[in-house]
Amino acid sequence: MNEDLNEGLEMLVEHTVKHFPYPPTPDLVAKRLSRQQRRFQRHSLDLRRAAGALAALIIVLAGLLTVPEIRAQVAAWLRIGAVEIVITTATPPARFAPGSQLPPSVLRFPGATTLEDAQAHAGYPIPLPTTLGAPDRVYLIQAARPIVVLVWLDEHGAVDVSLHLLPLGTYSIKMTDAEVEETEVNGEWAVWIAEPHWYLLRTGSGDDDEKSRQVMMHTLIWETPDQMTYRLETNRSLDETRSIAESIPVGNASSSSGVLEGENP
Amino acid sequence: MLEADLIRRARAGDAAAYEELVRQHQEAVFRLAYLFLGSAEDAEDIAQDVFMRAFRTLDRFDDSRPFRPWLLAITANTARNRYRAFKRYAAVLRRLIVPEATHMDMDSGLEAQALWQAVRRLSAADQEVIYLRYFLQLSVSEAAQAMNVEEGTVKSRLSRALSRLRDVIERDFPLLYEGRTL
Repeated sequence: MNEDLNEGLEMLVEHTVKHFPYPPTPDLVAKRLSRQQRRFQRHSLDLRRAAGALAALIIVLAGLLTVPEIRAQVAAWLRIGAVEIVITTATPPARFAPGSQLPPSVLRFPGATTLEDAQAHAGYPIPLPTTLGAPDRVYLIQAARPIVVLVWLDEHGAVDVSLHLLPLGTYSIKMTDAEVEETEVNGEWAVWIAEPHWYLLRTGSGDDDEKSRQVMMHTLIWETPDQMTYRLETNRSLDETRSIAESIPVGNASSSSGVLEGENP
Repeated sequence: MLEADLIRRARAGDAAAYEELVRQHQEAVFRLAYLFLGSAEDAEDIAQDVFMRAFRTLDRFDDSRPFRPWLLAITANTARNRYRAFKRYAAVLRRLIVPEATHMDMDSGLEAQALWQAVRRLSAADQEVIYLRYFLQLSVSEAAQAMNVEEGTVKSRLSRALSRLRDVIERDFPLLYEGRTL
């Protein structure tokens, strides 16, 4: 009986999908140049085009997030490596995601370890910026793949620079109403967020396996050709930050990870 | 030139060979991404990602197998991830409320659109098997390769997905059944 019903539905589906109005397929070969920059611009254009609809539409996140009063307008969305960036038109809420929070200061991160131990367990090389030398603190955070955080302190013992290594397969989201500036690191597309913003790190596959954190420093984010994503947090200027970033040797950091298994399930 | 030759040349760094592979498969990749995401611009982004990642991992592709299911597996995986990100921030909601313009005659196109909306109410796994098998018209064997499962598993998943689709249509899209015997 059920099979008969399915057979009829199968015929309906097979017939109907022949008329499915797909949009024209773009010529991907012709369009591949400057792709990432165009993607950013396209999101901006898309935002303007959709402004009329968006302005009237307050997107209610209550059904998706645990804090029912959370409401935000999603203004634009982009991705750079392992980091999704959601740009909102309203200030992100104090707590926007399920799961626990990471402390705002990286010095209180879990997983404090040594550089040697991190090298042994990260599963990928940990290149150091030549302008900074060896880090003062090292943390190894367990996620889909281990995330390494390197910290350099200033003369007062406060955080000067923290470098977060996100290998292929990890996943995180930034949420900000601040301006996201385009820049480059070694000729690769990068983004610079100068204002405090929220950051959500997925540490497992469940909805509760997410940790949010308020980032108080400027952040530079870029992806290297070997598919390693870097986040560099500091209060230094963009030019100084970029110099630090460009002093990091680009290696074969995540070549052992495949595309399929590296993706979030 | 045979597909295997193109792959061999692309592996050796021949950009023109890889571009030819892109041209041959971009429509299927783009369409599957579009079905998952409902946005041509996002589907194009996904398609670009897919071909870039495929190129980076071409050495690991088993060239005794067809290329298209492998690409579509990457596409489905990438699109599902993107879909989750959208869902998390309710951007999908915006797209459902403001559907994109269509490009074909409206009668048959509308019916297909309604069917697609019904399919989109299903789980990502149900959507995947329906998109691969019916929308992209893959054989059971090709769909099995794209999903990395046995052919029998494709059939059983299809059967369950169709049962759930029937429930959705009966409840929310009864006009799709008009004039048909099911």
